[in-house]
Amino acid sequence: MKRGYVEAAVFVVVAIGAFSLAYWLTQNVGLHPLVVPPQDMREKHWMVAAGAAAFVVAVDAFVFVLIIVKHRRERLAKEAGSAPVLRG
Amino acid sequence: MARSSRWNLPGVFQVQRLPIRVVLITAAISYLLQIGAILQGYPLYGIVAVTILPWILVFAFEYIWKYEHYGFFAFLLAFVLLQLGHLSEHTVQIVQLYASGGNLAVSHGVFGQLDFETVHVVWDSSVWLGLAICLYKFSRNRWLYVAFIFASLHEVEHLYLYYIYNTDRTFYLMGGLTGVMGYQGVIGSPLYRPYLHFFYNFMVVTPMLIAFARQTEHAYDQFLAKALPDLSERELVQTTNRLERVVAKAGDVIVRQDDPSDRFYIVTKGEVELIVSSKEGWERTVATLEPGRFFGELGILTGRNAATARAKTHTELLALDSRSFTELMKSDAKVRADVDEDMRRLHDLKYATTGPGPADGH
Repeated sequence: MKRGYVEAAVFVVVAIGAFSLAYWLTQNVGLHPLVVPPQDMREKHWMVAAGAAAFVVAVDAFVFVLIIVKHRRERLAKEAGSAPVLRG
Repeated sequence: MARSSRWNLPGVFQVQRLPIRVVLITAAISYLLQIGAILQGYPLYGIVAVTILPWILVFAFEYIWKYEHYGFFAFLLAFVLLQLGHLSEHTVQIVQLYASGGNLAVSHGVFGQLDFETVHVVWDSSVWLGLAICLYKFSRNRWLYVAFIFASLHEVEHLYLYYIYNTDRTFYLMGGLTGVMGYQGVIGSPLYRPYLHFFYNFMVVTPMLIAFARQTEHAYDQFLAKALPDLSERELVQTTNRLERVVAKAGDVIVRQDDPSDRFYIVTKGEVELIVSSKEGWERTVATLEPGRFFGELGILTGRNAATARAKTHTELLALDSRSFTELMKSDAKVRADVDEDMRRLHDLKYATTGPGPADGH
């Protein structure tokens, strides 16, 4: 349990550190040439972003369903005491 | 007969298949090629490419061995290494941007020729799907879920970019390349694209590394598990870290009958013959051991080898010192039962051999 907190703390520190570095570089180093899409053009493709997100969510959901089925199979096998429990 | 060196690292991190001299020779060749490329004035990607080249074969040989012994865990290891390489590429780009005052034209990482949307989407989709497979295999590892979620967010970004790159190049060049979360993108954030993608990769790699460290605690040699199937996972992991790889050529004697015994062996490749000799001078092969079978346990318990073990073909084995083996026997009744069963079998074979005498005139 304690180890889990340490890992979570490491992750949060690294995440804040990486974001801070990226933000600092954006503010102080910048980017040349910096091409920014005009407002009207930017909104034109929001459906594409939504489609990409929907596709990724669907694949992720499929993976999670497979994992749930796998865990259920393992649990049933353990209860039956017949099939070997998967290790690792 | 060759024995691999042992370092104080978990087995999976050791160079196990190739002798250390091969690794040193490869390092020397890689270094010489690197110097040559610098002197010839190669571009950065050329220098890095020739430096990596000699290592590819070494990694391939070592990877195959690790896959045979550690199963899917070897895939996770290779995957983490590749993703670390990818993060390095983004880090180099960040350093180039810093050094050039943010000049994107000269900041494309080491392999700048590959800095275009098709390569980005193929690589990141591979990371996303690779993580999905790892997650399915190691579904109790919580940090893989964290890595998978960030890889999914990154994937949305690259699918979007790849689509507009191929369908609306004008918009892409007029700023669409900033993407979904980049500065002034569809949703937007304060980060410019190269810095945002550096951050994305950090958020994927960090939980991957934590997940890998956790999974290492569950990694054990599959041949050990096959030979002693009743060992608990904890015993398998601990014992794996004490195993030493032994290689024998066809005809090599691995242990000799009646010599003092100090090791327990598991066959992992090839075949080993167990040969019993009598005082009258004849000898007979009492068993031929295939991968997953073991020998040497009787010798450890009695102090002397019960039979001569000879490699029938080119053979690889895992050896466990007698102290570790004895501790294992003391701590686990099931292992004792497994070993007793095997000893009884060998004893029967030996008795059958020495009792009535050799029927085939050996």
